[in-house]
Amino acid sequence: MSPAAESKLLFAGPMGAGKTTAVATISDRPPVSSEADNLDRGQCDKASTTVGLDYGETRLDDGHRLRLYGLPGQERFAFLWRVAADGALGVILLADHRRPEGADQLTPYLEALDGFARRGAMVVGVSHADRGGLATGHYSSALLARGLRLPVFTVDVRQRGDVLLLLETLLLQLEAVELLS
Amino acid sequence: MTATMALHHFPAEWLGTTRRHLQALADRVPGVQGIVLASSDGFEIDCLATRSGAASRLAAIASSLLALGQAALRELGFAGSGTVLIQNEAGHILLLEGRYRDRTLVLCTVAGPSAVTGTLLWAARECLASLTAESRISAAA
Repeated sequence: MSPAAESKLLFAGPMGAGKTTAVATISDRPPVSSEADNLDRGQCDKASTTVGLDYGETRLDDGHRLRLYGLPGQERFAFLWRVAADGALGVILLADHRRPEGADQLTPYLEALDGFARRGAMVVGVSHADRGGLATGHYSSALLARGLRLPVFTVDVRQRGDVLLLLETLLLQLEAVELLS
Repeated sequence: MTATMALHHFPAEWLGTTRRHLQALADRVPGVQGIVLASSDGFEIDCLATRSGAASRLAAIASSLLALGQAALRELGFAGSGTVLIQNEAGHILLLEGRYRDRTLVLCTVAGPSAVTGTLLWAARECLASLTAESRISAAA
């Protein structure tokens, strides 16, 4: 990938996986958030949920400026996933390891953002990795079963280094894809 | 979660009044084609003249658009709740924020091109004021 001055990246994944936190952790400026009271406590026990978009910005050491968009997790907001995907370079897909459905929780996002996954413009971060019953290797196996070879990391999205790892891996992966194409 | 489950957050006596207020809005503004009352996280609470599937979808879209509008206002330092109005030659979509006690509501009104914007805004605000007043009555009962 030739180093673009500015790129747009998406954070996707189910409610509670840590998209809003990840954007806030890495953003160089206070992020813009669009949260509402969460009535769906059965889905995720937190007081508020993103219903619009989160927006943050960060600049990497090489000067590359990243515009970061956190998508709402619930499928009823899928129309917004498609709107936000326009012009995006890649996707950081977060999974919540506490969810009993394991890798199946990623299916709606893998399907809606299939083009990114197929061309390698996606990395997967597994949050709350210490709180689930399944082995975290389960995610790589499930992705391979779908024909997807994507990097998978366990992450604490409150840690800047962990979120940077996801961002930098995604950019390196995009560069490799471009070199090989 | 389904919209039915979201309704558990609102008492039945208040839910029994919402249709009347939505109907009053429709009656006040010629050209109204559909109205959806939604929770701020995008669940349909009630709707008028809108197919159920379409109402659910509109509820989610309305909550997103209003939240984005509010975020833009906050970024500019414009405190307070906001209104989103989207128009083209085919009609209007008006989104207003209201309250049910400590919960935020979204009122989405879809109207054809014949609707007068000012009348639509006024009537939608009246509708939300009525719904809020009704919530105080049901709280006191």
